[in-house]
Amino acid sequence: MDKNEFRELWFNKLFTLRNLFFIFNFVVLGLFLFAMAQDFFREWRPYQSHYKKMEIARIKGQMDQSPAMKEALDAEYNLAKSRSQEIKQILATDLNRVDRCVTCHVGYDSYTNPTLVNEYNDHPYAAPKNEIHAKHPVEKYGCTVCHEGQGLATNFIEAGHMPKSPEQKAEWAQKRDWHVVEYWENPMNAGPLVYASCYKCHEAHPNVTGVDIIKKGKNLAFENGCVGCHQIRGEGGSIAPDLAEETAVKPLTRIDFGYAVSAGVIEKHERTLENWIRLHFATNPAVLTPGDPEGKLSADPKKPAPVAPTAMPYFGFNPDEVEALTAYVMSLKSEKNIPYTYRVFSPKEPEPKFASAVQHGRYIFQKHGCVSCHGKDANHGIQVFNRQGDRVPDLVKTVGTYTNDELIEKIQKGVNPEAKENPDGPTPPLYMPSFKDKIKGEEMEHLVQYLMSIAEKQEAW
Amino acid sequence: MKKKILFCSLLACFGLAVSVPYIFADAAADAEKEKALKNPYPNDFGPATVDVSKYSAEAQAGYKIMQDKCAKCHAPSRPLNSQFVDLKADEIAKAKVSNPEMFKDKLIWQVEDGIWQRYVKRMMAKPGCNISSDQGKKIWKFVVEDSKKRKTGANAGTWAEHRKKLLAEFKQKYPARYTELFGK
Repeated sequence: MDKNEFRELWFNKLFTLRNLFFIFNFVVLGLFLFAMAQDFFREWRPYQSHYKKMEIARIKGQMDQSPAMKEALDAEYNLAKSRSQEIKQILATDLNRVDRCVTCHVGYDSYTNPTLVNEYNDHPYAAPKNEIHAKHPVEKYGCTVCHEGQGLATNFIEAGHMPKSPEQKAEWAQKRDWHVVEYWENPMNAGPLVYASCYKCHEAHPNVTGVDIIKKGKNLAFENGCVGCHQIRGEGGSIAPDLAEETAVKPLTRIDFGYAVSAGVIEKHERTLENWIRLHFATNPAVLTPGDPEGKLSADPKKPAPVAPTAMPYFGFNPDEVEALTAYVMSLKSEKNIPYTYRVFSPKEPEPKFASAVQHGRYIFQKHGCVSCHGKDANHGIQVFNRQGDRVPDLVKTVGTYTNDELIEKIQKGVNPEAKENPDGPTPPLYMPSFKDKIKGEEMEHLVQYLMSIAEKQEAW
Repeated sequence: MKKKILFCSLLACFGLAVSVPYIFADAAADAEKEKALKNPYPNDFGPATVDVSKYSAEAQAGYKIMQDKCAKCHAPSRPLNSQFVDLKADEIAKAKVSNPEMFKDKLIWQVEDGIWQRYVKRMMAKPGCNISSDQGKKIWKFVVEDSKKRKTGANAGTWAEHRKKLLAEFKQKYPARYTELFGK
């Protein structure tokens, strides 16, 4: 075939303007049909059609049972029959939420289910049946302000559903090919973790059953002295990040999951803030942030700048305690743009009363987080990387060698930085902060009395 | 003439070759000392040894232990040049009469009953400190005896001069640390 014959065949017979017109018409038609088919098989449609069928069957059953009610139920029956399948969304403008959850959770949709009452127990058809939902109507609050997740999504995975248990996780992975939505910062708070959201608006613990987990976490944080190192909205130690302003709202891109993944304590696809917080309680935190103790990663290998691993010790919490602490830290997350009219303020909790100065001193010891480094009974200092002696002093052994004035001075001044065990090693990640501006007057007096009361008796030389 | 120049050059090269390692060794030692003295005290700049030949046998033993054990965390000069003087209550009463100067400036003399005992025990209670009770007691005996011998009685004047000099030099060299430790 010569050039002319090819041109003749190509341009004048196969791809004539007329043929091209037909070809592109078929392509557009194909795309159109594909789009229709894709829309027809949307994941949310079967939920709506199933709910519609259940509702029709229910109303029809009632009509058959009591013919006298037939006329009264006619309108409801017609309404149920006329429901079209569509994406539904709640615009909670005050809270900056557009939530399409009710597209599948039709029992929660007051348009489909005006009374918000039904007899269905299956997810996602069951109507909201508890006091909290009654007080927080979805039309006003939406869903994600409490439950988190991706409000605009209309399929199960993209919505950010999170399993409540390892069993549920395995089931979802098998049936739904479930995985964490990568880069979505706020997956749902599964199970009791949802109560963490209460504190976005309620300053004090609301008096509802599920909130117990947060209270337990708060108590554990107090007993273990988290505020010795961490701040909570500016109050507490200055050694570690603020749990409310940084940890509970940390962007995923700022979290280095690399060590946790390579240590096998978390799967790559499980990288969520919730898991990052949980791992700090469930494993040894030094696995998550091992630092660079030998300075191998230094920019200039000739001038190594070693970095110590995290100072946070391994507390050995049990699984329930881990969940409670995770929920508590998650509860510290605040949303600054929630209007003040939605917030429930409360006065600061009064400090407990104590029968003696020593008891009060022990409370001060806990309140300021001294227990986190010196141990719950001041008798077990934690390990600190490259600190001279490798550990924090056991106060029961040391305080007896101080006079009251010397002890007060020590607490007021602190020790910063701590001396190094290996002069070429990294700076110890922990130091005794100055409590000059935090513990004063009677608090200091009683703290010293408590410490002196537990001091080991010194052998007189 | 040329031979003389050649000889002198060779001699200079030899001298340089011999002295350079010592110069650098000194620099390295200084750097180490500097690192250790990041949070210094005036005491650290005084002598790190004393003549203990006239001390009691127990104090001499304590001196040896101190030189070995205490040096793990700080130079022996820190306790040796300290202002602490450990006197019994009756000794304090007598000293107040015989040498009232000793009670005027706590940076020169800090006279207290049991102060050395508290400090030695405090150091012993630090994590990683492997000083036994018996060793600690010997160290304590030494520092108490040493304080009395070098800081009181006929040597009080010499001590005051030495201590004042240490403080003045320290203030000049580390003004911020001086303020941190002693205020103004």
